[in-house]
Amino acid sequence: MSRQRMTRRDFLQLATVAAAAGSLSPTAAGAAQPAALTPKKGGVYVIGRARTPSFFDIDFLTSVFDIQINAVFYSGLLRLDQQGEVQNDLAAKWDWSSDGLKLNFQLVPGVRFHDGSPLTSEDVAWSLNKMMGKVQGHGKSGRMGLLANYITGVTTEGPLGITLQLGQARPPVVVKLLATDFAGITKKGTTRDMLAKAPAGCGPFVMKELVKGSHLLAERNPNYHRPGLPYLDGIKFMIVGDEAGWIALSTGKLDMFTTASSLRPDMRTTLEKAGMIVHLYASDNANYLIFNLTRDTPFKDKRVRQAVNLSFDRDAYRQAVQYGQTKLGTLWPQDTPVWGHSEAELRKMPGFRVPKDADLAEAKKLMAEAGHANGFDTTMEVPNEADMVRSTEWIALELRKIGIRAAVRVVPSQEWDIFLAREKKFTFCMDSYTMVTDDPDEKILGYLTSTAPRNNMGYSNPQFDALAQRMSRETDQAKRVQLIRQMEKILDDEMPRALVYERVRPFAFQPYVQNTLPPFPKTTVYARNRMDETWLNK
Amino acid sequence: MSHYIARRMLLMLPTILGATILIFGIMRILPGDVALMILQAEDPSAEVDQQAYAQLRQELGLNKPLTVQYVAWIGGILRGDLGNSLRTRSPVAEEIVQRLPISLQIALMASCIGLLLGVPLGVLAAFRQDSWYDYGLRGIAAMGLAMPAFWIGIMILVVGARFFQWSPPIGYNPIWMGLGSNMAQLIWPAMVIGIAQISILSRMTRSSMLEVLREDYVRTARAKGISERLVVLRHALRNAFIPVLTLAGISLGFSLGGSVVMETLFTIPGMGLLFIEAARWRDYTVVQGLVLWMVLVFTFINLLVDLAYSWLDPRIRY
Repeated sequence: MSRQRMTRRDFLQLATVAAAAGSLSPTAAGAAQPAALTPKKGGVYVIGRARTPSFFDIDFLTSVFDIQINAVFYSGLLRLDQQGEVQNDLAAKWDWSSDGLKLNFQLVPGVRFHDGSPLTSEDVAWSLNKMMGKVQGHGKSGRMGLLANYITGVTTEGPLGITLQLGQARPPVVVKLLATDFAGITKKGTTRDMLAKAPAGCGPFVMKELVKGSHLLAERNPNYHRPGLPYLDGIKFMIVGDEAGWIALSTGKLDMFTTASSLRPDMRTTLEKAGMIVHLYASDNANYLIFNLTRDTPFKDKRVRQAVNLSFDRDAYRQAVQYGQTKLGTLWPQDTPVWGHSEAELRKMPGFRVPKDADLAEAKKLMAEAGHANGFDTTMEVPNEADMVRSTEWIALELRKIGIRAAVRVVPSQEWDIFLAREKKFTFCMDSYTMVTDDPDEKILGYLTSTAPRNNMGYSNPQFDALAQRMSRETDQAKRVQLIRQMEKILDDEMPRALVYERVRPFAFQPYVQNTLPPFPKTTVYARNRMDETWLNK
Repeated sequence: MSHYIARRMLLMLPTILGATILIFGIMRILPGDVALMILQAEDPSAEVDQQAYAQLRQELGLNKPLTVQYVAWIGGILRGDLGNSLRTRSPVAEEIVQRLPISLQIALMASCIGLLLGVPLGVLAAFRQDSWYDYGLRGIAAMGLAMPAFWIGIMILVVGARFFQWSPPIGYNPIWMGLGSNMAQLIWPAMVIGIAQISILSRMTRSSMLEVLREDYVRTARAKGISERLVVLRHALRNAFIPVLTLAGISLGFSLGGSVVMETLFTIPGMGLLFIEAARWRDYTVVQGLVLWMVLVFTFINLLVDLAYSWLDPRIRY
């Protein structure tokens, strides 16, 4: 196995650097919890979640709220440990074939699903095919469907052996995808209707009770395949809205709470005064301003797009709209291990410089060169969602500094996906890019190449596409970084999209909760929510 | 009386039928595709497999003509089947039955608070017309109406947490699992809704009582030497109560439909929260089922209120 291992020391150094970068809370370092404590068994962990899961189809889910509940019911072939390293889960061992075109797994024997039936290689093969949209009656997974780009076939060898045939040698993203929570193994033959009612996994917890809109109770799986785990007797997911959730946490009615929206500073102060550990984390969601390159608008001219990128003040945006809680970035949030840039590096890039004067002067010059010295009138579209409307209105005001008079057009949220992705009726707007792993393939091949399914801009550059393919096939991490940097340069020059902000998600929990967070910043919120190693120190 | 009830029941049919056509049509006019929303969940940029999309639309019956969909829905209702939720696949009737006791309890508690406090306060204000008591009560009632329920609810949460390290319990506890824990949770939304009802009912009772107290029959009763208590309870209040009852009935009807804001704020899984979720996901069958339920509730409460008139005022005959 050719895997780059990160030592614990490396991880702690990275966490320290990230904390020192300023946007992590002072208590975030506390999230790297004491390793010397001996885990205690027992207790029910009470977690606040925004809503009842829509269904229990682990790989078909896309929402962070749903995956954070569903993950406890499923196990995958692989998992991430507390340091963010890939470890075996249902796989007792795995290896690449000598040519790197096969990935072989041997399952842990004796594993049983929650209904008592044994896990076999047939279940795993069926689940992987289901993720890739190859099982009748199930759709293609929004998150794991990416596997179909790499896996050409799945075969079983006896009850415990599985082999994945690959179209290219050792694609790193496959292993990373298989270690996310979305890659849970489902019992073969489970129908979509069955998964609408209950999970069908072999994870650390078994669903005991579901009261829609109120709570979901999960109990320890006595037959869990990892010896001695889980530590908790159970988990109670309380369904609770944003404001009520933070308040319930501060008054001790919850052990942990997290939301997708920014945490108000006064609420953060209240939580910290009440002794909570507050952790702000970015990695999985970036919001870009994208331009529709398929329509004949002034944004066809890359100088105008560059001017837009230069014109708006991301620091002011952060303070005015997002309570000071966003991060900078290009393709990844600042300080992301391996792929990201430091804040110092970003500050030298056009659009991120402080003070803003140089950027603004250059933007006006570019507008004049493009023949728009007096600016122009245009439309900026936004889905009818409070946070997006607030952000869009703010950007529209900023663009007036360079003469772009953008009228904000609000589109009903339910129409937005068709409007944006299918019909491409927009002029320019904000678009969200989500990452499940930290692997660049997801973002580059998912959003930016000319054939990328989520390339809503209509951006196409053969040179960029060729680099993307090379990067995807490259297994040497250092070489991949070099290729990424070349692609970043192309994107910075052609500017089909400009980063507005990297979302920061707030997590807060009681000080006695141990091992509850995914190993940030090495992964995203979509991994390591199984809670089998979480315990309560009380 | 029985003829009147039968006639009213028959008249309810076109009302209900009209409501079903209206809500069925509105839900189809609204933008959004439930199949697409299920496939893309919260990630609108997620790639949608066209085969899966077509298959899902077929499974949900969305590819059939609207008239066929409507007739199938009405046919189901006549057989007692409200259909299945498009999103969760659970039977709609089951979803409503799960949520109904919660909204029902809140509505009844709020109505009790409103009636038990609003009516006596209104009577007292009428008797002490233009006194400081009357002015004070009218001022408080105006405040109760002016303060939006969501604001009062937020204040309860924020003040409780900030100054007393307290917040209402979360997670629904059915009444049979413990009266104390159930009441501890539901009393707050009921109280907030009740505050508005106290204000409305006290004002209505006051003005209605003032009108009745000037009637000849009240003067006659007093002239006959009947005690003031009996004059109020037997003669004045009974007559003044008719408009109050109408208002209380309407309030109860609204509350039974689910207090959307209160249920969202206090995270109570009642009908209101279900309605919000269903509308957001364009879950046609659930929204249709809920609206049908609300129409039935309103029409039956109206009928009951009308029937109560004859009990309150024997001069009214059907």
